Amino acid sequence: MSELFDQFLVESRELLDGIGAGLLRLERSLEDKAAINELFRAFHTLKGGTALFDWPAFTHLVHAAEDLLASVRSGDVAATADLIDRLFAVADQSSRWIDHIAEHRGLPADAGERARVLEERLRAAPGEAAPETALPDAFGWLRDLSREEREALRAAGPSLTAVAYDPDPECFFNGDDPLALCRRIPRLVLLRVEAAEPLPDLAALDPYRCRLRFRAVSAAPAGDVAPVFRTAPDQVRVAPVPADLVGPAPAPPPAAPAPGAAAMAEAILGEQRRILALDAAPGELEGRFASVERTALNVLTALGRAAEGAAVQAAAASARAVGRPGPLANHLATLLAAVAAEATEAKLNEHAEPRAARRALRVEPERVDRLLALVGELAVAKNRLPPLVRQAEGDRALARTLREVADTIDGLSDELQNAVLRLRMLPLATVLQPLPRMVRDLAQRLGKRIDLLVGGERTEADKDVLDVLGEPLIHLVRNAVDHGIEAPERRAAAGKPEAGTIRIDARQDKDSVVIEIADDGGGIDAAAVRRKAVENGVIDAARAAALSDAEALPLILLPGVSTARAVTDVSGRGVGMDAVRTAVGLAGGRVEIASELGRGTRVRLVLPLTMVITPVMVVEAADGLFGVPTSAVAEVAKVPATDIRRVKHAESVVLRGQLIPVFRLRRLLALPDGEGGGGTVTVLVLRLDREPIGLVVDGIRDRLDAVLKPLSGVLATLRGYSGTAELSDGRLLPVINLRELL
Amino acid sequence: MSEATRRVLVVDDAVTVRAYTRQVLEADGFTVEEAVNGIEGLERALLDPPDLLLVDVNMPKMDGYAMLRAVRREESLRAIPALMVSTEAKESDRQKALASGANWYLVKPARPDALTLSARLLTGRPVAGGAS
Repeated sequence: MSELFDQFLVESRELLDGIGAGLLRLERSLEDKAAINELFRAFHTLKGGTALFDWPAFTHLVHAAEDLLASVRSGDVAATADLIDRLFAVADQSSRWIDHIAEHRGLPADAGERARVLEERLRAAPGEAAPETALPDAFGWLRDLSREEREALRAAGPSLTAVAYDPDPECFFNGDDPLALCRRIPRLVLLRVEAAEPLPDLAALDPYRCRLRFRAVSAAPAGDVAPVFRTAPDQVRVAPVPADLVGPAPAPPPAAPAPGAAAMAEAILGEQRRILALDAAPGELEGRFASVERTALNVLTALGRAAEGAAVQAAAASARAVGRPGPLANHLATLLAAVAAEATEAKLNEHAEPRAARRALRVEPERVDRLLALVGELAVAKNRLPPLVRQAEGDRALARTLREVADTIDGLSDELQNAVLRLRMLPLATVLQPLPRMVRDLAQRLGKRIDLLVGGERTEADKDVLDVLGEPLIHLVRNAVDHGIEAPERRAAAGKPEAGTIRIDARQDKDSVVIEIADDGGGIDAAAVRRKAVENGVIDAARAAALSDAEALPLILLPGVSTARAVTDVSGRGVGMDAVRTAVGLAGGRVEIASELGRGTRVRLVLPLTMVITPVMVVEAADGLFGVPTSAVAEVAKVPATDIRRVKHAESVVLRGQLIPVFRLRRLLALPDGEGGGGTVTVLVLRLDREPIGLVVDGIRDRLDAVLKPLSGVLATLRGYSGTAELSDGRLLPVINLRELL
Repeated sequence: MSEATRRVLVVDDAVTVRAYTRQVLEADGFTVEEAVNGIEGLERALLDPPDLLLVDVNMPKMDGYAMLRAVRREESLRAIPALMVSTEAKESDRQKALASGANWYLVKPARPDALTLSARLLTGRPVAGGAS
């Protein structure tokens, strides 16, 4: 039960994600048949899931949405923006219910009421023609039994149960096997299989629709029969058979399906397009046009779509007229898209099981973390090998063998660590997915028109990084919608297209993942940022005036600086940018911002691919070794000791004409001051936010990819450290948290 | 028109292949004629154009490629869909077949259902259900 339940939650959420995406696609193009099909299937599958448990309100609501989509699919109801809104409402309600179910294992008390309201909204959709699911007279057939049948029933016993089962025409897509279900009816006395509607021509018959209905009589009580149809409660009526019964009606046999026809048709049409693209010798083109045209026509006829042939002939005629394959090839492409939709449907039906099997393996994050911890311990154990190698130096052969073994283990342990880290990598799609819906809703609320373009969803990053990324991303996109993109009138007045564009692009850049959020909105007024920063005492007026526009912009990332004039309920008062900077900073990343007034804003988040591994630089201070995260180090400079000047209590150094404040690691860590001797000192130039800071250290050892362990026990109260890493000789290296320290 | 018998000309030098193809296609209601090489295939086609050409690649006298090139240049035959059957599954072979005039390509030995389904699609016989 529990496993099934968990599966249901996971699947439902996936389905709802898909429904959200599908509705957005449909909204962009109301004729998108593939989207309609996908939505229909998703709602259908969701319904099947809810029916496994006892949540009738949920099942009914989703069923109503499915019905509506069936009507859209058959062309009885037109897809409209309004209809999409109604479906969004159903999807939203479903998401809330799923959350509720996850926590409480059941629907909230008001579910029935909510479902009724939403169902009414669905049914009120314009051009409404949703097929009524209620059976006119589900048990009238009992009066038409043959003499033999009546005999059989009489012989079976006094209390009989009648079953009227009208499978959903799309039930095959749900993995239902109506006949098998009927066979499971206990103490089955009579089973009739009938055509639910007159069967069409063979040419027009869609073998993937179930056009049958089942009538059965069982000698078992209704209470024993009903559970058999647990998965299809809305398609079945179960009732005791009244004592009086009568007469017959034969059923035509079902049609044999032709699996793979649509898929092969698609493949053949695809090849015709390819043929047109191949180089042709002079004199061959005519033959190609002719055979491709005939082939396409025949394929359409075979599929029962002969009516679409005229367009193919027209396309072939224009190809002949211009002596190039272009027009015919283009038409084939359109045709392919239509046929492909059907082929996908057919494939789903044929391979319902493999589809589930292809799904990625789901692993509890804790198990991966446990694995990672073990890899870490292996790395530590491995570090005990080099001393052994040194000890064995008296015996050269032994030393050599030991070194080889140590090297091999070293390499394997690195690879293992990388492999485990890869396990924790997830595509950015998980955090990017909610954005289109959010932008749509916000834009609608604010009366703006916005196109959102998302790229790089497949870029991967560690799940911890993704966890950190979600909130800031939402904040930045909200900002772009709310404060970035202008209202349509203003855009038009500025000579811009009325619809604004927000572009989100993610990519991997060496050990970082870079996410850019760019809008073509009004941009940020650097002068206003300066003014606000001065007003709020972030910097003094003189310094503000000295900053260039590009230098002033990052001030917006600091607490209390915002230029948003209109306060809406969308992004509050710009407390956000500060939160973004903090969140990204915690993950070891940074925020860059560029903007041009009137042209738009580009915010770039640069985050490490993983937070598990921190590249650190090992530095010396007062005979101790410390780690400094490499990501913060912009450069290492050796300067004459005399270049460091003291002004009151602060020290600074001029590097390439820029005045940089300088701190000494010894002092920050309250270590004894050095003798200060020697001609030069080593300065790490750190870039935490916008302005560089110098950190004086005694020396630099090497770089190290450290698996940071947080300080524990009494040490946990120490400020200034983000954790410890193990050095190759087994010593612990304290890694400095620069933000805390400075 | 949809149920008029479709004529398939099978051009292959191997007698077992011709027999197998005939058996499969006739069982599905096609009329089958045979030719043993490209020249003979071309002659028979010209005499009485079929609804589908089912052509092997390697044959004596005139191979399948040459035959199909000739078919595509011949006014009375050029529109007839052609299915090429070969033991080669390589993409380059498939492309060569398409370039010489084939409309569809199956790797030998083709499964009966693939053969009949292809023949139906290429000759415009209903595939959505029924008559098996």
